[in-house]
Amino acid sequence: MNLLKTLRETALAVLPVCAIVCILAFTIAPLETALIGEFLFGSSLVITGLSFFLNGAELGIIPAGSYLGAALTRSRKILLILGSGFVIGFFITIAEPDLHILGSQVQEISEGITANSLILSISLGIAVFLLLALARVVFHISFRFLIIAGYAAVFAAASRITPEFVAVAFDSGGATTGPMTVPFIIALGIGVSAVREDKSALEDSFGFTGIASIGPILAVALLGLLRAPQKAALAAETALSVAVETPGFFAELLHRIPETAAHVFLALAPIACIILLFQIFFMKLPPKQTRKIAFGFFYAWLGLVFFFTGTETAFVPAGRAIGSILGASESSWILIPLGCLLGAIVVCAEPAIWVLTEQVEEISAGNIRKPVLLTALALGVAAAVGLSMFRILEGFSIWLLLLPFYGTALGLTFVTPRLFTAIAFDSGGVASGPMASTFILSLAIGAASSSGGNPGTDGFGVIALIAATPLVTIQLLGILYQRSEDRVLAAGQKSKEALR
Amino acid sequence: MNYEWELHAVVPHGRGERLAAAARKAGARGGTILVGRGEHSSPVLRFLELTEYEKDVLVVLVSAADLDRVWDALKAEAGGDGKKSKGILYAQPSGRTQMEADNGHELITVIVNRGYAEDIMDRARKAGAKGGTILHARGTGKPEDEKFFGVAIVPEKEEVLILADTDNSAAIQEAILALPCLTTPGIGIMYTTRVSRFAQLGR
Repeated sequence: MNLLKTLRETALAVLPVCAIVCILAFTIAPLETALIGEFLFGSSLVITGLSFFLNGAELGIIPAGSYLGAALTRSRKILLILGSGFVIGFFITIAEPDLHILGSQVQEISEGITANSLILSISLGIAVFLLLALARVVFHISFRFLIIAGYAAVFAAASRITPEFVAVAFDSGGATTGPMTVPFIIALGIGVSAVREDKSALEDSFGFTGIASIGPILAVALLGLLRAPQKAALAAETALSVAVETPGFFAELLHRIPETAAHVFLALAPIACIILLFQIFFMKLPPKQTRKIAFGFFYAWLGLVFFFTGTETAFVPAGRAIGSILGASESSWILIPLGCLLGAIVVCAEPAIWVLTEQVEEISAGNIRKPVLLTALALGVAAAVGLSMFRILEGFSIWLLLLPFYGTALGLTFVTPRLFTAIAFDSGGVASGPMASTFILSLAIGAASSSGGNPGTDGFGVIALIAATPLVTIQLLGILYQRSEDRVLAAGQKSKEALR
Repeated sequence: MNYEWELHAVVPHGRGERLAAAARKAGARGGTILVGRGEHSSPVLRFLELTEYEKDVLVVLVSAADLDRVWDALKAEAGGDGKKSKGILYAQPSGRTQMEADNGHELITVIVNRGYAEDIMDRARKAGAKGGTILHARGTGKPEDEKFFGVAIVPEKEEVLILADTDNSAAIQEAILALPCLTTPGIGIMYTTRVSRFAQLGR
C-alpha cells in the first residue's frame, strides 16, 4: 500500500537526521535527556506527517493543479489563462501563514513599512511572476531570458538597499514558496504543458516555481527602495526570544496543535476554493475524481499539521541547542563539516523536494531518477550550509557568496539542457522549505549568537544560500546527463553502422 | 522474423526491468515497460481513497517458437503461481495467428479523456471485475484541431485495461457504458480483444 511505502521512504529520509543529532548529543554537544526524548518524539511526528502529506499531495493537490492547468490551456483564451495566473498567484500567497509572521517581523524592524503593505506587495509579486510564467509558455519566451532579466532586476534593486533589508527580501522568497503552494504551482505547470503537442512541452513543464519565487524578492527589494528602513534590528532575535520559554513539552504540544491546524487550513483554503470554482465552471471532473481530490486535501492538511508540530517542537530547540553549544566551544570549526553533513541530510526530508523529484521522475518517464536529483540537491545544500557556517565564524559579507553562485547559475543557463535549467531554478525555491527554516536556521542562529555574530543577517544568509546553490549543482548534473546521453547515442550510431 | 504473440505482464512498479531481462534471456528480442496504476480491492482503503499504487506493464513480442520458453521464464522470474497475487501475465495473438484454445478471458480496453478512469474501474469492480490497470496517455493532434499560438492542443487520455472472465465481460461492459459521466459523445472508446493464455503471478 502506498501509505506504508511512503512511510518507509520518509523514515529513511528523517532517521539519519535523528541519528546524527543523537550521536552529537552523546559526544561533543551534550543535551538534556528530556530534550533528546522530545526530539525523537517530534521526529516521529515529522515522519508521519511527511508521509500523509505526500499521499495527500499525490491524491489531491497534484491532480487538481494539473487538471486546472490543462483546462486553462484547452480553453485557448489568453485572457483567462493570464488572469487566472494572476489571481491564483495572489490568493495562494496572501493566506500563507509564514508570510504574516514575516510581515509582523518586518513591521518591527522598519519604520514606514507596515505588515500589510509587505504582504500585499509580496502577493502581487508572486501574482505578476506567475502570470509571466504562464505568458512565457504561451508566447514561447525563453526561460533563460526571463530568469536572467528577473534576477538582474533583483540585484539592481538589492544593491541599493540596506543589508538587513536584502535579508528580508531573499528570505521572503523562501517563505512564500512553501510546501502548500509549491506542489500546486508545479502541478499547474505540468498541466498547462501536458495538453500541448510540441517538443518543448516537456521542458516547459517545470520552471514555474523558479520564476514565481523571483516575484517576492523583487517586490520586497522595490519596497525597500521606496522606503528605506531606518532601524536595523533583528527579525530573527524576536523569534529567538519567543521560543525560549516552554511551559512543559506536552502542554506546549497541546497548545500548538490547534494553532498549527488553523494556520495550515488557512493556507490550503484559497487553493481549495480556486479548484472548487474551476470545478464548477470549467473542469467538471467526474464524481470519483472529485472525491479523491477532497480526500487528498484532507490528508495533506493532516500531514502538514503533524509535520509542522514536529519540526516546531523538536527540530527548532534541538538545532538551536546544538548550534549554541558548538558555536561557543573551542573547536567551533566543527560547525563547518557538520553543517555540510546536516544540510545534505536535511534537504532529503523537505516535503516539497519530495513532490518535485517525484514529478520530475514521472514527467521524464523515469529518465531522471529521484536519487540522482536528490544527490545533486544534497551536494548543493551541503555546500550552502557549510559555507554559511564558515561565514558565521568569519563574518564576511553575504554578497561574496551570493554573487558568485547566482552569477555561475545564470551563466550555466547558456550551456545546460533547458529541462535541467527549469528543474534547477524550481529546486532553488523549493530547497529552502520548512526543514531548512527550522532546523538549519536554528542551528545557524544558535551558532551565530554564541560565537558573537549577528543572528539576524547570518540566519538569513543560510536560507538565501540554500536557495542559490542547487541552481548550480542541478545544472551541472544536467550537463553530465547531456554528455552521457550523447555518448550512448553515438555508441548506438556506431553499432548501427557496423551492422551495415 | 515473425512475432506472432504479444505478451503482457502486469507487475508491481519496479519489477518490470527484472522481468524484461528474464524475457530477453529466454529468447525475446526486447521489451517495453509502461508505467500504470492500479487500485487495491480492500473496501476500507477504498473508502479512504488510499488504494492507488503503481504498476509496471511489460510488453514483449515473441515468435511462436519462443512463446513457451519466454512464458515460463516470466512466470519463474515472478515466482510462479502462489497464494498471493503479484500480478498477471497474458498472451494475445498478434497478426494472423491461429488462436489457441480459449481459456475464458477477455481484455476490455477503454480509452477515455483523462479523469474518468477511476469511475470506470469503480463501476467495473461492482460488476465483477477483479482489478484493472490505468495508463496515462495522450491523444494525437488531428489536422483539424485548433492551434493555440502555433501549438496544437491535444487531449490527455487514460487507457483502462481490465482482464475479465468471458462470462461476465458483457456485464462489465454494460456497467461501464451505463456510467452517467460517460454519456457525452466523443468522450472515449471501448473494445475487447481475446486473450489466449492467462496466468496469475506471485510467490
